[in-house]
Amino acid sequence: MDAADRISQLPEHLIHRILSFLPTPEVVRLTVLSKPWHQVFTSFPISEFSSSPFSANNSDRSFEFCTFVYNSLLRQCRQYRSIPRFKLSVSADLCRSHRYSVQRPLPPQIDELIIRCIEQVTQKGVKELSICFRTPVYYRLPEAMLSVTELAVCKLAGCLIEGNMNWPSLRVLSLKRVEICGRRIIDNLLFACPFIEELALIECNGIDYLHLSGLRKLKKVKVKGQFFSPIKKIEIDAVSLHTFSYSACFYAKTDIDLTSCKNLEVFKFKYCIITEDLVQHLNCNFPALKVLVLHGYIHDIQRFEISIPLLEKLKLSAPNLSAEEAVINAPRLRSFKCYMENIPPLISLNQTSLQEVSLKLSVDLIYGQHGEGFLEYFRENLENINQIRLVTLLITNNSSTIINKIVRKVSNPVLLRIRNLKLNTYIEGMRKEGLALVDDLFCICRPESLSLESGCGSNDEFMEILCKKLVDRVKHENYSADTQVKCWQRDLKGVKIEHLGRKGYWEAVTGHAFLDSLRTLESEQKIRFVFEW
Amino acid sequence: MSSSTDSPTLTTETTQLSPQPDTETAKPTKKITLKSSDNQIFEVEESVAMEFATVKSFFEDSPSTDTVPLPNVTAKPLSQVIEFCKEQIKFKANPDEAQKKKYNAEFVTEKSDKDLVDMIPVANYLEIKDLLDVLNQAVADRIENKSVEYVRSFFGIDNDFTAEEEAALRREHAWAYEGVDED
Repeated sequence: MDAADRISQLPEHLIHRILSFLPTPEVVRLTVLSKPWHQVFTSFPISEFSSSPFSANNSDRSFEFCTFVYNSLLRQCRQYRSIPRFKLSVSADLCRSHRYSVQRPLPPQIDELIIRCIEQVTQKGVKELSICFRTPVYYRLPEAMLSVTELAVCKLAGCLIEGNMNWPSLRVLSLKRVEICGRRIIDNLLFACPFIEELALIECNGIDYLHLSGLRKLKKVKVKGQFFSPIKKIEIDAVSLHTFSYSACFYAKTDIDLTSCKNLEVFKFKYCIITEDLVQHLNCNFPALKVLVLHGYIHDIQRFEISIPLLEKLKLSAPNLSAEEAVINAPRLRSFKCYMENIPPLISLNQTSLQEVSLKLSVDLIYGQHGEGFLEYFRENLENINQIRLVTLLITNNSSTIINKIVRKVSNPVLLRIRNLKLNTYIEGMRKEGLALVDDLFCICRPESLSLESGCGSNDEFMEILCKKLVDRVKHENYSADTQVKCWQRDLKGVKIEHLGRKGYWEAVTGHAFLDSLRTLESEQKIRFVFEW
Repeated sequence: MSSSTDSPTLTTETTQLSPQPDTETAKPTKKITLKSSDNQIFEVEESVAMEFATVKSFFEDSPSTDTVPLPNVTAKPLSQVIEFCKEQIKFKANPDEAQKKKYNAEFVTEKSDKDLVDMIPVANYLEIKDLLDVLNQAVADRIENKSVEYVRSFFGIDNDFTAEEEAALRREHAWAYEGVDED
């Protein structure tokens, strides 16, 4: 085979497949590769349109964007019998010069073009539709949306629904920042979609009571509350329901009734008030529950007891959990994650099935009454739990001198058997205190790995100090045994610095290269130091 | 492009997988012979060959044959495709999504651009959907955010546009070139 240009010999549908993995502007740029490629492009069904590349400089090019979308769809209408996917995303700065008002959410010219685009796809049997507006005013859905027979997946954001929708084939519905004009509308909408499997209502306006029944295929429901229009009650009557997740807004009180969802396996409740009634309700009503996430404030609980026979994963984020004793009775529990702001109560958790325990403890050591004995106390508490493979400990503290105080109190130099340590530092004057912090840190634990995220708190400074210290490290043989602080340097056999790349792989970097790259390091990059002791 | 195969912390996970092939080889399995267009012979286990939808249907049509000729496929890409499918079988027996993802990503990162593009028609002809998706995604990843000139040399494409024609096309979609750092 000729060495050159194998790709152009591939069947057109394969090149289309490759193009479908690329963002639309990239696909458009590739039209100038060669004449055959231009040909391939003219038959490529573009399905994702975003206005953001059209606002690269400050001019208003909304009309150019809409014309591009319209012409692309027109071409597809001629070439194909149907348009299966259409994704339209309009950014906030699309119509800069337009003065937004509720009556005129878009300039008339633009509005008309978008309506015609939506008409085209709905007439051409669109199955997957996504319309996202980030404009200051909700986008009023055109009449063409009222009845779309083939529509299976519908995602709307920043829109306004006022008519009764008829989407009989719908399986997945996601409404985000959508204004729903009246409770009847959502009731009717869901009544007309008997095959719906997944429903997400994120920060929508106009739902105060959500009642779902008669939906035999309903598997997943995700609701997130909105401040100005809180949901008072959620009632779901669906035996098929598998996952329910609700995130209230500012701990707003919502009645949740899922009593008849006997097959529920995943229950997530965020920003809630955890009461004894709620816990009791969970213990009694969901025999199939496997995953439980509770994130909220404990209110008036004497005894905290979770007792669910099939539970495999438990995530508990309860900053003020202060019951004398917390009992978790779940013989199948594999993963337990917990976040607390107090010294934890004695958690009775002796499951042999347990593989992963993650304890995030955020303690204010200065003002807290636990003081310096807290690590010892915590170690004792941990040793009661066998089978732990992973512990994440989060200690928040304003000054590293407190850590130093604790370290000096510690009798055993290697205190915590922590293998993987994640660290976020928020220390003012890190440059001054960082050196001591490094010494103190390795004095209380000898982790196999230390992970940090760049751009977070004073992590960047800390990493620089740590890295310099590791690079400058010389193998001193003559440390006297009593200088506990330095002895970690003697024990350290090797160190590797790794950076989590874009593709999800750890790439090793040398200490010097890392120091050089620190200045230009983007935020939220994951860095890992791997130690050999 | 550098591959990171020597990640130290993953050793425990690979040792977990190792007992798997031993039990597989313990029981006798039927072998199938594949013949490439350049007359190379490949002997593969039946389970691996059945991953190729084309070979599978060949056997359904004529079950008595033991050698499958593959007239459109040369030896090198075929051997790589077989390597991929052998691994996929292990994941079928012992599902581990994270490991599978990792293997798939490593499989494509260590391949040259040429090998990658050569495997696409083979995966297409043999109808191995998973591999085809992995390859298409990998090719897309390699040309993403690259200049038109880079992509031309990547695929060995001859530019048959005149300078004026190309400039006119670029002007037509000027928006797609704005705010792009091409390298």
